[in-house]
Amino acid sequence: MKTRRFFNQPGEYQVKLQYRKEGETKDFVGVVRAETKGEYNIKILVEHLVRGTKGRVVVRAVASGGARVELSGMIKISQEAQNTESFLELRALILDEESRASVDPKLEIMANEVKAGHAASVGQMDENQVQYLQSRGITDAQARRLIIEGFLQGE
Amino acid sequence: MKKNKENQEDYELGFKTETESYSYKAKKGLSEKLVREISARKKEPRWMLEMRLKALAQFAKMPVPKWGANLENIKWDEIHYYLRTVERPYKSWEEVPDGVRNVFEKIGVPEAEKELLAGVTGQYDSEKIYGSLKKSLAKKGVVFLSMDEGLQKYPELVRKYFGTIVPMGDNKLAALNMAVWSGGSFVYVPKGVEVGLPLQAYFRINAEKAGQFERTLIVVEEGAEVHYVEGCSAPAYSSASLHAAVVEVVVKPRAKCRYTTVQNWYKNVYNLVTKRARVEQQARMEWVDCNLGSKVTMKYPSCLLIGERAHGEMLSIAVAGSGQQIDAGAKMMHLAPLTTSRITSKSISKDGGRASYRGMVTISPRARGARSRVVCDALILDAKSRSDTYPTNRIMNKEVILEHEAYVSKIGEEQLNYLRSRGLTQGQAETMIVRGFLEPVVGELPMEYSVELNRLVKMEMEGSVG
Repeated sequence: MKTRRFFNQPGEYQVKLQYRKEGETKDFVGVVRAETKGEYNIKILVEHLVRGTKGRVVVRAVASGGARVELSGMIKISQEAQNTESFLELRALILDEESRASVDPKLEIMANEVKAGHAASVGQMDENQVQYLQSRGITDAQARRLIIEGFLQGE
Repeated sequence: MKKNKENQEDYELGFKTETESYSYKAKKGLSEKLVREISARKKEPRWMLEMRLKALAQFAKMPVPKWGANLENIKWDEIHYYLRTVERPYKSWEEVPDGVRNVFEKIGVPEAEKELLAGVTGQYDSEKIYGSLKKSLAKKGVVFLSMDEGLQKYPELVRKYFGTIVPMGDNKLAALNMAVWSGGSFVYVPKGVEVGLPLQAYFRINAEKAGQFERTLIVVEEGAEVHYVEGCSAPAYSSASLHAAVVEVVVKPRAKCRYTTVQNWYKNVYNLVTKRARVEQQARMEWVDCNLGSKVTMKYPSCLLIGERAHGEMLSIAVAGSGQQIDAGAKMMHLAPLTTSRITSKSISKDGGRASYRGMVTISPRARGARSRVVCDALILDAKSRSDTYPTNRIMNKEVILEHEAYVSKIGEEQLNYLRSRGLTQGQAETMIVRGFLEPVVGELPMEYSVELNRLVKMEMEGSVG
């Protein structure tokens, strides 16, 4: 099962994914378009409470127009939740000077038969990609739009 | 479990030696009178006493930090804040009393010195009692003294930097350290001098409930290079000791400093340490930090990257066994353009231990073109243990590349099966995998320390597996 959620307005959002059924698999994809001034605060809690569950959470954000993006995620694996696989990915692109981003992926792991991890990154638009697209006859603005969409939809 | 206990008993450094012959042992607890007494005994300049008193007031005002490990069980009034074994440091090994010498012989200082070591300063409780520095270094103007001697001989130099990197108000433990500090090292490397061999200091806590509040200051002038190494071991005692050190490092333009720690305090020590470096233009600071011992460790060595193209690096190992909580990490503050940093953290939790990585990377608006990479790997060896990762990454400009990765798992079945199919026992295979896991950091240690660390890891591992 995969859930997709969009965050287009400033605000505080909490997402909680709980795994209570043995053998359950649940994925979550968050897309954050932070294009106006304001705080975009997205907090994700992933809780594995029973054996043998699998989860993958991906959040991608672009920050522009003075947006402040805060992505924080926590994977908790309780002592009973052996054989868990869990991964959390938080990525942000900062598109202008006024915008900021922070990415805080956290882990609290109390079981040992697990594979758990996270990846986070903050970066900027890759100008080589923009140039490549322009060399193919796409305007600068269109190229940037395409790259942003590609980034937000990639998972 | 039984095997583990035996292991503890023949634990090489877990001996207790008779050294109740302290020439001065302050009463338990902290007071203004004590601070004045420490300062007077050390014949310190007036400004240092004033600083100590200010810090004492600061300490009283500040709350015990609550955001990390549990520090509620520290009995602040039960601690000896100052001890002194001898009136003055000895010049030669023969002068050192037998009781003191035995401890050093057990941890191998004289042997280490015979090897390719540039100088040895053993900290036996709160003062340096034995130190030497190779003549060639002294000729180049390299200073390697205990902090107390440094203050006596180079008061102006010390005054210029002391408390500028870690001010007294930084945190409660830093305030405490400034109020009652004693011992530690003072290292000064003049412009352009490369100290080829690592400078080493051994630290030991040897009185029950003794607090160790050493203060280290390292100044590396333009284009100079130094590697400072500290190894810490404390003998076995029943009640908890407190170790609250402060380390300040100044790395001037194009200079390079590496600070290596192998911490193996006995498992009743609270190890609460503040370490920070100011890294100037094109300079490079490297922390190599290995934490195996202590009951509770909270330590987050930091780099203030204030000059263009400054680089900060952190390589760390944490091994948390039964009853231990190791809460360690790093902080990288990018405050200038094109600064770079890298954090590599390896942790192992076993026998109910808890290892946490807690780190922070801040990239300020000025730090255009900054890059930072953080990698945390953790192994959990059994179902009772716990591993946490608490990173914070704040990015305040757009020309930045920040990457963070963490991975937690147990030892891979496939790897184990493969090694066992080659004739290794389960225990041998696990030890081998763990050593391979730690190798990227262990490989960076000076030879005798990597040997020691491998031995310690093997000892720890064979208590728990195999």
